Amino acid sequence: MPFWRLVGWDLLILWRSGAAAAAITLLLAAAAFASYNGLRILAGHTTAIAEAQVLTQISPDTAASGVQSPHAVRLRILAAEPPLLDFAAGRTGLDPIIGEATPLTPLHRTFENYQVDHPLSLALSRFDFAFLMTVVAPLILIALCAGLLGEEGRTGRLALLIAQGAQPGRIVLARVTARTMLVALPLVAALLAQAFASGLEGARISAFMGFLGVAILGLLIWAGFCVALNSLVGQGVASAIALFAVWLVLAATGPSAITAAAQAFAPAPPRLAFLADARRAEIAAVKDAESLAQAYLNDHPELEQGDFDVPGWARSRYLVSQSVDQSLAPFLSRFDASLERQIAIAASLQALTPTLAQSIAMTDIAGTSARTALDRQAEARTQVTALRNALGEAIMGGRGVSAAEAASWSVRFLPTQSAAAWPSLTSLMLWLAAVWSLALAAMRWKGRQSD
Amino acid sequence: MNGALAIAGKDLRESLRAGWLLAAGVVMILLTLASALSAAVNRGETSRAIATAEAQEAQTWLDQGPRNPHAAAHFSRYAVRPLSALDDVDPGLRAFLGGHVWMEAHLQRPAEARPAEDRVDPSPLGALTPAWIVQHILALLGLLIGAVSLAREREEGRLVLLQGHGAGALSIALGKILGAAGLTAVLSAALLLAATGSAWWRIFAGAGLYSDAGLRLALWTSAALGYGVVFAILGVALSAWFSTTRASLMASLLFWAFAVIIAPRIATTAAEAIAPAPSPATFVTALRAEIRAAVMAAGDGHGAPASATVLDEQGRTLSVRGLRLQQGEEIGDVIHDRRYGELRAAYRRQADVRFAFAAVTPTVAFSSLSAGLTGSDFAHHADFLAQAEAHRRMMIRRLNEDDIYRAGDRGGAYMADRALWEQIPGFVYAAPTLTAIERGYLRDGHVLIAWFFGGFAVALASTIFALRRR
Repeated sequence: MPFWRLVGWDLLILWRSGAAAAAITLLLAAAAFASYNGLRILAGHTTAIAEAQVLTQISPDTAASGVQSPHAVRLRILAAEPPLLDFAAGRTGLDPIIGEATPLTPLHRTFENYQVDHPLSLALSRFDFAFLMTVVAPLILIALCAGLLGEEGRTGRLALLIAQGAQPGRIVLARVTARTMLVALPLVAALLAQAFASGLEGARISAFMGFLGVAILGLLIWAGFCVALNSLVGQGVASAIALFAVWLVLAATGPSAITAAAQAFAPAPPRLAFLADARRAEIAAVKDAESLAQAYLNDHPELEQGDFDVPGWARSRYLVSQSVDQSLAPFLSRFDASLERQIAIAASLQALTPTLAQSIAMTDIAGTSARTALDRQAEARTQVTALRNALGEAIMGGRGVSAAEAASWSVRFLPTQSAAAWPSLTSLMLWLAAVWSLALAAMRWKGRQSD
Repeated sequence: MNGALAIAGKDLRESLRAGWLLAAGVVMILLTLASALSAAVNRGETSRAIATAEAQEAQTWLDQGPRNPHAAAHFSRYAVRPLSALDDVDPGLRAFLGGHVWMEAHLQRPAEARPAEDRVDPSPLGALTPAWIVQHILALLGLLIGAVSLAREREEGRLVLLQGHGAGALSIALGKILGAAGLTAVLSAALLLAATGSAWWRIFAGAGLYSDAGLRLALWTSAALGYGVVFAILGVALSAWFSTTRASLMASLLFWAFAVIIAPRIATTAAEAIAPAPSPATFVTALRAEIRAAVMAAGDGHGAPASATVLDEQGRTLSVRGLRLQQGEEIGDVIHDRRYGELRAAYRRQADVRFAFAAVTPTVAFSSLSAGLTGSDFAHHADFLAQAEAHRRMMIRRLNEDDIYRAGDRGGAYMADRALWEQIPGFVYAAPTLTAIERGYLRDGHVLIAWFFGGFAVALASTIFALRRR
């Protein structure tokens, strides 16, 4: 019997038994929930940024006031919407998306008072498409594919089928194909619906294609496991347990253990140590304000004194902030280095489990991973430093800034782009090749056994 | 009853001889041990670094030199929540909760520096911890032990043999339940010893943060043991409903996936949707705007003329600037209490919605109870925040009072010195006992007990029904 006819027969049997309808209902319900959650997270981001943008608008009084003191300039730093926030929430809610910088505040105070979210929501509310595709969909596929030849083996029909020329490996492949289609098609439809519902344009198109590719790759890997284990482990119960054990190791325990290892091997120093250093540096700079001012003038011989009356305390605070930032730069980079190392550990170990590789790839593509958070932080620091440098001389030289100049500093958007997911994709491709090689070998072995 | 005990004993012996169970148990115990020890080592290092930073922080406060008290109130100090050995067992929400609060003038700030911000967490199911292993793997193992106990014997025809030898349905049912529960309890005991060993060591060494740490850990161990047994009993119940081991196993696995992995996430998302809390930006912006407007309307201390003074009833000269600054604080306190009260009420509603899902999965009740007993839930964090806020108010009032009584007509030019800084005590966290926590954990405990007895009744009834049907 041609292969696709076998697949068709199996789909028909699944439909008649009610298993297909149950699986599709379950998948669509889960997809609807993931979609709702994704849209809710997206709306939360959009609303927060819109509210912050309203605050950045310069009041008519300020605009009409002409020249103003440079120390009063406020820069709002807003994180742009990640390309696929509604597909993979990642670190959403954890990292700040709204900050405010002035020439007088130290760099580490750019983002403040954002830690209000309910921690339980941060820990557990990420039922998004990434979760659906990496955890739930493989489970449903495994449930559908468990013990594919068990019934035939138990009742003796398998021997009858072999006697009629059927190849057990081919039967397994056809059944797994039918079941994979049953899982994949509703999910792909749901992903497409979500993409079109929340708009598909610009960077989102390529990101979505990448996300879809990773999602399908993951399902194909699990389909490969289903073929391999159903061929290798003939008994229904044993193959069901084997498949689930593989899921437990590769999708549940493995990624969690690797995450714990990455966190344990490259822990960040406690933030309190950083703050204690910041405060000591601040007090030292406050006490040393006069010599800081002299040092600044020595370093800027070209500085011309203007006629705008910048308050003395503003000059002091500017110098103190500069001094604090300079003394804390090495400490700040330790946090980045620690997160970089954790990312590197997770990235190097992702080859051990396709679920981890899939999860990292999805958040990287969605622009919600730790990598994109680091990029965003670096960009925020660049923007704040630029503000400081641009207005520092005005503060120290007593030069007022025009309303237009102040307005030009009112807001900066931090680009939140997809991070390169090639290492994860390479891991997934290697997994795909390895699992399907195993599956094909197992099919051949099964064929030889039945001969 | 003797028959039931004999059947349970036989099941226990047979299962302990089964290689896969022993292997799974050993792997699980080793994972737990590695996870608990790694957590203990990391916590020890972090605690030492925090203690050093706290000492440095205190010295910086004393060494700040002559300053206006209000400038010192803005510089202020940090309230730090110490780590506990119980965090090694279940870090709960600690990674998502800030560990210290900047007790600045004018604004009650949220706790800063959530450890999760400095951690990578690519796993869809979170990082591995002893509580994670109990919540996920012990539940699975319990369920599998229960799921095969009846179905396998039925498939192999041994049930008929048992009934033929005169064993009654009740004896067999009780025996199966006791056997599955007993085996899970044996495995749990070994696992829980691995999970809590280092924490017990710390407690016996007198280094526990909580005065009732021993009670907490004992209750946690009992709850974890009960949780595993509940899943074993549910496994037996499921096993009775299905005629083949394969079907019983698949049903158990799907139930596990739903109960342990999917339902808790649905519960949390549903809670957020049904009882939404304001976004951080909205909350903080509205809070600051309301305080600013109220303080400006009453007269802001920052703008008060430096030389403005009044006399009190005892004829002492009081600084108007200092009085207004303190008045601003008191106005802010009322607004803080109301706004944060509303936020906490929203969180409580969310907790209630989430708790409703405890009716469909014991995991919701256990995870909540587990985090509560180890002090890593939001209720303990809220207690820390309340203590920090009380300390902030006391500290700012002391600084403002110094301004009021000693600044005279010097206003912002008045400088206080080390003598004042030494009068301001540092924050010391008084770790609460379980009974002091407002939330109470009886509700979670009751639900787990209900799952135990409910599961037992269903398993017993299903097994007897299945046996008699034969």
